[in-house]
Amino acid sequence: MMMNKLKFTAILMVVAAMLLVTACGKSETGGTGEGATSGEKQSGKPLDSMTIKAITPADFEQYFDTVAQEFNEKTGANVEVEAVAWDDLITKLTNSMVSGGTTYDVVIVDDIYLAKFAEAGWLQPVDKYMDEALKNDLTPFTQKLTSYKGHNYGLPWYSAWKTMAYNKEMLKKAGYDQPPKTWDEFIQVSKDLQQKGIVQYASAWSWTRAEALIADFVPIVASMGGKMFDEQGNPAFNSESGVKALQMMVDMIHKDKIVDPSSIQFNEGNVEEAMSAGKVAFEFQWGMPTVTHNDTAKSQVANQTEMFLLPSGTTSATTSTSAVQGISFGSKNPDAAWEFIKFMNGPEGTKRQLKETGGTNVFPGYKSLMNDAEVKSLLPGFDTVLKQGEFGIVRPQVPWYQEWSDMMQVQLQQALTQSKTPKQALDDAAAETLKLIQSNK
Amino acid sequence: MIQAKKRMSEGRFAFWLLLPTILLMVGLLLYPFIYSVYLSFVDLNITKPWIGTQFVGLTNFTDTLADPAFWSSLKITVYFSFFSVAGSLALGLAAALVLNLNFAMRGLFRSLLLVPWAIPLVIVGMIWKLILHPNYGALNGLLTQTGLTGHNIAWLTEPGWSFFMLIVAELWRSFPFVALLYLAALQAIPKDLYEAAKVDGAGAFSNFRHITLPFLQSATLVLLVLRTIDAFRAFDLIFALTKGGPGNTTEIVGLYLYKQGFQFTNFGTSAAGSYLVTILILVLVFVYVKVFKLKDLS
Repeated sequence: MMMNKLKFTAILMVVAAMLLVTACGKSETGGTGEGATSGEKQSGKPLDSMTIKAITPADFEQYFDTVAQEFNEKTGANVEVEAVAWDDLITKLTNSMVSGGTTYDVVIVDDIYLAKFAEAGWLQPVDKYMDEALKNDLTPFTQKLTSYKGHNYGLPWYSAWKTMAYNKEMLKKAGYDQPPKTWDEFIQVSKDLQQKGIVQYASAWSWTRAEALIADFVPIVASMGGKMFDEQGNPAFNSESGVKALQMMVDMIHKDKIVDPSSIQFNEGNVEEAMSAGKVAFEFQWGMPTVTHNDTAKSQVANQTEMFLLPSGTTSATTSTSAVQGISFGSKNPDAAWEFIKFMNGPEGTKRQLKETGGTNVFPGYKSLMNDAEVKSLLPGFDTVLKQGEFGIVRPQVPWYQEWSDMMQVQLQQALTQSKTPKQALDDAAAETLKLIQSNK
Repeated sequence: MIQAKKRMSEGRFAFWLLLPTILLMVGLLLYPFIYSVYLSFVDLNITKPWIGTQFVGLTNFTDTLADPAFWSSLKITVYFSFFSVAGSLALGLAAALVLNLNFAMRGLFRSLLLVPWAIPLVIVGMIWKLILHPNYGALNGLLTQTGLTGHNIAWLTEPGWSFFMLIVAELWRSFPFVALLYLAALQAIPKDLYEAAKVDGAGAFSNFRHITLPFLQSATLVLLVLRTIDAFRAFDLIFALTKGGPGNTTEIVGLYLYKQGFQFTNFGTSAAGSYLVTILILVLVFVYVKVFKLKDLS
């Protein structure tokens, strides 16, 4: 009996010790990034020992940590950064908002999700923090994409649009001094490149089942003179122009065979790899891919590429985007969060980002930077990119954008895999869109 | 009497030791279960906070049943389950029969068998995505280097190949578990039955049919149930490998429900759909148990 009691007591003590160790272990973790500090009091700093929690795509983690470290030295605030894959960002943010919005103070919201977040009250308007000078410095397209129903929800963090890049050496070998201007020319040049054995496929596109596909479809339709929605907000993508655009995409893969069929599973990163590896002559890419192409550590086509406008049917076009870096509705430190956002994403912070990240996929969202000589010098071919930006189209800013995009991706891919005709796919998509509009009234 | 007292106190002792775990399980499982049942009968209106949570009765269930995307995903899941369950059972049995033989380094092979099963499903998806990469993948490399094909194949861009490769990846990671259970069952078969059969002049196929298979019935029933549940719950592998594409040809019901909940914030629809699938799985399990008539061979 005595032995049993002793045994029981010993086991209980072991279990209690284990629980204690686990509890202690949890409080030691937390805080990510090399820039995060322990939050020790540094007297005289305005945001002493305050902690700001932020989230960033993994590509920018290193830069974010650097900025966080400097912000800490300047203000005393500790910025804890969580890095996630691009595709996981929206899910992480949605989960955090659904559970009270306290997981992060500073959040990044793509323009296509801003309407949903703003309608749901998940972001704090920042109108009270922005003076007139700052508001007026935003370019028209970043102003449009970082605001909703008259309120600003943060500062532009990732402003970009897509532009074509071509390998001028490959075109020269095929006897071309200039890139194609129209779709007919594009198809012809592509065929010539392939027939002369310069490339197996002239181009690769990011037509995987993801938002990337919509980001390409929208400008291609626009280049044919079409649009996604009419003035009354009804679907217009199944018009003659829309069907023509999708038919051309299908034919380029299956009939003309000038687009790598793998494009149906490629994202932008895969397309970039193919271009940098010299496997294709054309790509449609965010920002300034020439900066990456000229990096000899990553590319085999250094100094061989230049930018050009998306070929036109009736006009050139591109998709513009601008993610906003804003303040979560559940943040306990909104003022401190704003200070960090201003530090990182204001005009000075954006210029610094362009300098330090090479501006590969970030454009200045401020008028004061658009004509800055130093900024222009960092971005070879920026003049062409600026011209492409004049044809920028914004994707629909509606709270139900995710449902619509997901449905469109399915229909477009069914056309691209020839499971449906383009007309059938777009008509079905239009019918589904009308249902979505009705259910969200 | 003293022994009976000792057994009771041991049982009580065991209960007290297990109590922390029981409490943890109740907290971690029971609360989410009850909450998910609640969710299936309400609309949280998460993106319309001015409306707030509304009780909607069976609307979430009827909306799910009326959604063609749900039925499409369910159909794909049924096909996926059929091929992955049948395939893993067949492959697992074959592996178990081989590993039940005596050969050199059998222990090593038995250990290596478990490696695919031990790898997290998301990693399995990423591994196969690399293997199947159209330009840099090992599979295309092998086929083109050996001259079996003259060009790279974009495996995940064609609906048929995409689904086929999904099944291959699923079989690769799931058959080891099946093999393990079958191996345990094979080792429980009395050897003297085979010896007696040999004396009677029975061949290998006859032994397999009349001795091995009947003894594997209970293991097969367990595996059918577990593998069916596994297949219907599949999500990680498909999310990592195809994300339901191309089009929606590999969008299984787990992915559909995930999107409803975590992308479109329709948690009510997602919860209701999950319970519809649960009911379907329960029906299947009931059918399995009824179909399998176990004979007492001991």
